[in-house]
Amino acid sequence: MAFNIRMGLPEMAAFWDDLYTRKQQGQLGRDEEKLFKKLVKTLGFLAENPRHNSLASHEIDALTAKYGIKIFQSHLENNTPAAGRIFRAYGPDKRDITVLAIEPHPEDQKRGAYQRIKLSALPPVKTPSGGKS
Amino acid sequence: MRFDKGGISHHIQTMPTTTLERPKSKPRLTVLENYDVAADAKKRISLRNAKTKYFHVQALSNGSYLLEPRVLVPPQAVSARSLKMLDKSVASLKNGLASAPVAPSLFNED
Repeated sequence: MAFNIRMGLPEMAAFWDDLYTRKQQGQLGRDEEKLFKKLVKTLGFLAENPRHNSLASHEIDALTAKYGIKIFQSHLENNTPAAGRIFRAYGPDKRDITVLAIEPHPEDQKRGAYQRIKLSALPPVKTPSGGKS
Repeated sequence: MRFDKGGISHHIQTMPTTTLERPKSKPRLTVLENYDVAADAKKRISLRNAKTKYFHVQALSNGSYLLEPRVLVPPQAVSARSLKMLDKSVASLKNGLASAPVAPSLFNED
């Protein structure tokens, strides 16, 4: 393997440990089983070649600027609206890739259908600059 | 003796400071339409000339309803929870902390 895959502390590592433990115990639900399979496949690609075509990896400039380290996004699935994604960065050591977060967040999927519709406030309205009419 | 109670007495136009300017007052809301509606058999009312498709509705205890326009979040956006997870992971990573490597044998399993 070209890269070691690590999980970000503490939440991502806890999530992965929980998923992996329950997989070994055969306690995963149907959706969790699917997610685990996608994650393992994606992590396998990442370990082999972070630029694998299936991952559609690309840097997220806004997050890179926010955190001061290069943050990349890789897809968990293709040809799917709102496809699952993981956020990753290189480090802490050479040949290491750390998975920082997963989107959608596992807790988000437990909500009801109505609450899955994500709404946000409108962007601020541009008012015409002053001037007597 | 004159006292400046505005709290911005140190602001001199010719000597700009790093202090942020006080926010200008927001433009006041104006009433664009004023009409009465009747709920239909299914207790629905129609909004005339609504500018947005989605609204956040608050039903108040006095029988009033407050509607606030909303927009759908773009699919590329990162949810607040994931962003929080990202914050913590990046903070740990900057301190050189990450979990132990995932066993490579896992990737070879079918």
